[in-house]
Amino acid sequence: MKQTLVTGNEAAAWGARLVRPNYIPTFPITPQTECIETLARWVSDGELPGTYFDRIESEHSVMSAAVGAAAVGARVFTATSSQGLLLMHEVLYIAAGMRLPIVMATISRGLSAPVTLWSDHNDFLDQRDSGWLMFHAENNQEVLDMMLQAYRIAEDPRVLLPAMVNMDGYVLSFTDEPITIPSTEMVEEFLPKYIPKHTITKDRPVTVGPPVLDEYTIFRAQNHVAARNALEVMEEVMDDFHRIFGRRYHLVDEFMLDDAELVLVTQGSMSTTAKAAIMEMREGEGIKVGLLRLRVIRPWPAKAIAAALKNVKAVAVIDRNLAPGRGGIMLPEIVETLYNLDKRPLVSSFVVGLGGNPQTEHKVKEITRKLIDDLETGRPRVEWNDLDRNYMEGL
Amino acid sequence: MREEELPYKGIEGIPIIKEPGSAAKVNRGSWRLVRPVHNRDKCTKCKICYTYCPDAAINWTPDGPEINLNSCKGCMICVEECPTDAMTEEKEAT
Repeated sequence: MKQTLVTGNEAAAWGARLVRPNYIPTFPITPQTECIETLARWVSDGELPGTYFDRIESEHSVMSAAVGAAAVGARVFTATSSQGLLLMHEVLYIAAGMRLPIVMATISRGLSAPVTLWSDHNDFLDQRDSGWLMFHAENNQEVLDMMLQAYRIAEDPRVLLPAMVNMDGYVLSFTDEPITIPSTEMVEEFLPKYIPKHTITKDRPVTVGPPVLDEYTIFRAQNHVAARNALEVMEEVMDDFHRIFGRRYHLVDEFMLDDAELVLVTQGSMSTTAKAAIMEMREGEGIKVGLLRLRVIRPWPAKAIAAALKNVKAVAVIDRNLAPGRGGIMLPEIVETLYNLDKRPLVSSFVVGLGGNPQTEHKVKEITRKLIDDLETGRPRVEWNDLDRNYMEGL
Repeated sequence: MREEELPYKGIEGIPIIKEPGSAAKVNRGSWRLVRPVHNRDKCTKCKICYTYCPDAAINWTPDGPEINLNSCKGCMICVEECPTDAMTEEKEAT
């Protein structure tokens, strides 16, 4: 175990290094990140014996290679970002349908056009119906911890689904943060050796993912049940993670919710800024505001979210993403989760931080003040918090 | 069936065919509308039909091509490509 300063990319690479994958297929060119560069360096320095590092011509082929390797029972890791993740999209469904526990680090970056180098969550959330388990980290320590948890959850016989661990590009991926890197012994205690039971071997030449007719719904339902099972498995795994590593995680991250009347629902790295703003608002202005961070996106932890929000007066769903013509992607998911509660809070929607537009404490306070207004008038709003009238007229 | 009643079937619920080569036992040509017919007298054994068949439904024998009608989908590429018209199209009986 050692304390060190690493970027989010390196934290994901450390996560991969500690689980000793058999195979790392990669597309090495943009939008690939330092995560793969770091692993390539370790492999060429001989620090990852037993890992085959592969360079492949596109992300679509990378995920196809990952599926092939996982189908013969290898433990597989790969990483991608933005347009690369979209190019993988088709094969993501195949990985999930064949129930192959691949783990992938994704580094969120806004999508083209126009081109941006900064982060928002559209690339990641575009994969939300693919059948993958989806985790979203807040900081670099969580990136590493989630990688270890993701392998254990994905490989559990009750689940057997691929998993994505997301971090915000630039804000986490290029920023050094102090993290604790666990020892190999601790990781070995936490994560047992992967013993695949449903894959192709020399003595068992099966066909995986063949065409089916009437059984299609059955297999889709199994994919769904496996993902729902993952919620229970996650809680067990997070308990065990706490026992071995001492860091506590839950399905959702609740911050100052005990007496909160207003709640900000966030995702990813902006949550840290929001938490600082919340502490200031509580101390300075006595506003009873709290935060709920979505760290598991799929499967959707509906019970945990409903339990956290059932007694609050107003909720601001802060979406760092956009479904044009619809609005924030997580808004309808939160609203559906709260709809059948006895007492529903007012829900306002805030679309923020597209293409990396920085989310400062000031902006979080602005959102909170707007939410207080909405509560007083009783009228929820849909707000583009980064745009104001003067700015738009001055264009 | 209500969602909470859906059973979890473990690895039995994963789409896998355990028997190798089982496709050979299925008639994959049952939805063919037209079939290729080979005329040995016109055939020069040039192997063009054999190489062009997209489904490997033509086997090569010392006597020339042998069409596997269990696998042929009736695309008629062999008929199109045959330089000596040794392959002809025939309607399947309905």
